[in-house]
Amino acid sequence: MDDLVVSGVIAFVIFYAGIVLVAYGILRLTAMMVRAFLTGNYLLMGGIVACIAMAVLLYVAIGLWLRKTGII
Amino acid sequence: MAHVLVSPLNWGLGHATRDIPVIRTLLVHGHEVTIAACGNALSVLRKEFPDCQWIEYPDYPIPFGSGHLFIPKFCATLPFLFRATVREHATLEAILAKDRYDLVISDNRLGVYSFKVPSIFVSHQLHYHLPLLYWPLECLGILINQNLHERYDRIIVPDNPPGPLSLAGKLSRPQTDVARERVFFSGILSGTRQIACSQDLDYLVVISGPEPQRTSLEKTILANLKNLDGSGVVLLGSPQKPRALTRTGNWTCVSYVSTEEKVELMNRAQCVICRSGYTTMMELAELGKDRALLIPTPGQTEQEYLSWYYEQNGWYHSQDQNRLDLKDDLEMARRYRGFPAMPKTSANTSRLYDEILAEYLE
Repeated sequence: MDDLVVSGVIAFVIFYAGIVLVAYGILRLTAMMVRAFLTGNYLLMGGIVACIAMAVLLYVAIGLWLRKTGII
Repeated sequence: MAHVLVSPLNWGLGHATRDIPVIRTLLVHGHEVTIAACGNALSVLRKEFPDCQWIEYPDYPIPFGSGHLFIPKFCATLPFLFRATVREHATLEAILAKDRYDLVISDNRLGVYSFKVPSIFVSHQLHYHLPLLYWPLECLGILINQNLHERYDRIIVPDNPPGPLSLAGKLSRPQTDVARERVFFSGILSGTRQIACSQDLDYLVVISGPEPQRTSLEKTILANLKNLDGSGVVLLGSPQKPRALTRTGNWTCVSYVSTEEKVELMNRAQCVICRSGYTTMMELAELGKDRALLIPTPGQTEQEYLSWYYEQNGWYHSQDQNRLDLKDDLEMARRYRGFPAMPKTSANTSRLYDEILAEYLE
């Protein structure tokens, strides 16, 4: 088989698997937050929101660092 | 005499027009050139080189419109683009089996390479710029490019080397060893040329880009013209409409013009108002235009990056399409100094031939 096909298929599998994983993670977190809210477990809900906020900040910080160092 | 296959991508005319000086140089050195392209790219090159052989070689339509959903849409269409690239590569092998070729030059066509015939890739984008939030995709793009660049013997970048004269900024910066080993910075390659004429037009407005952004820009520009002093020509970039010419005061609007007429108008214009596509930028550099107002196509990350980069360097003023105020923005554009002086296309193509192409052809 042409190596263009092989490397392309591998790249697509990784790419779309990544998207599915991220989407699954978002769904699970949302479900946990809703459950925590409905059961009145506001501490857990606050913890999840704080974790999400930190993850977003970290994500943006890594992006900024990659830009600043000229890697991307 | 060697035989060269030149194959530009038909996504706009930029790829075809920047190949014109390369093809001309090959012909001047007595080589045979076969043009393999499709659509308007093929039409332009057939008109420019009527004596060259040509092959109708389909590529793939631009798989997205522009707009704010540009990246998600692009990601969704990637498998189709990939399948088209695989098919494109198979077609090339069939073309090469029918005739003898000494060199293949692919202008941004990712499937146009061969392990049997030396292959050269022409691109100003060694790196794809995306908005900050898409940084993982930008990193993935580096890996994908590395894999694609490995298939070529050399990569010609129509830009000056990284540094103060680089027109493409980070887009043309080689980031992998694969790219660094293969890259050759040819300097600008433009199909346009300087002609002796007076600069009697105050403005030339070139409206282009995919729909619906083209129409949106047309409406904004036409609504703004009454606020401007001076004379100008507006090229509406609508070749599918019958050629029409309307005059309003000192302004003339034309649905489209030929390549020759556009070259003349660009030479006559003191200030050019246009999209920030890379080929147009090479034209500004070739003609030494020091006044221009750039309006990137919304959602086209490459144009948005170039606009930002030129602003940062103090070369040209840019404005978003939705915030455009021609009078104010043209006043602002006067404060910018244009591109610095740089080697022009004729010197660049000579150097390109002597240092790269001759090795495969002589």
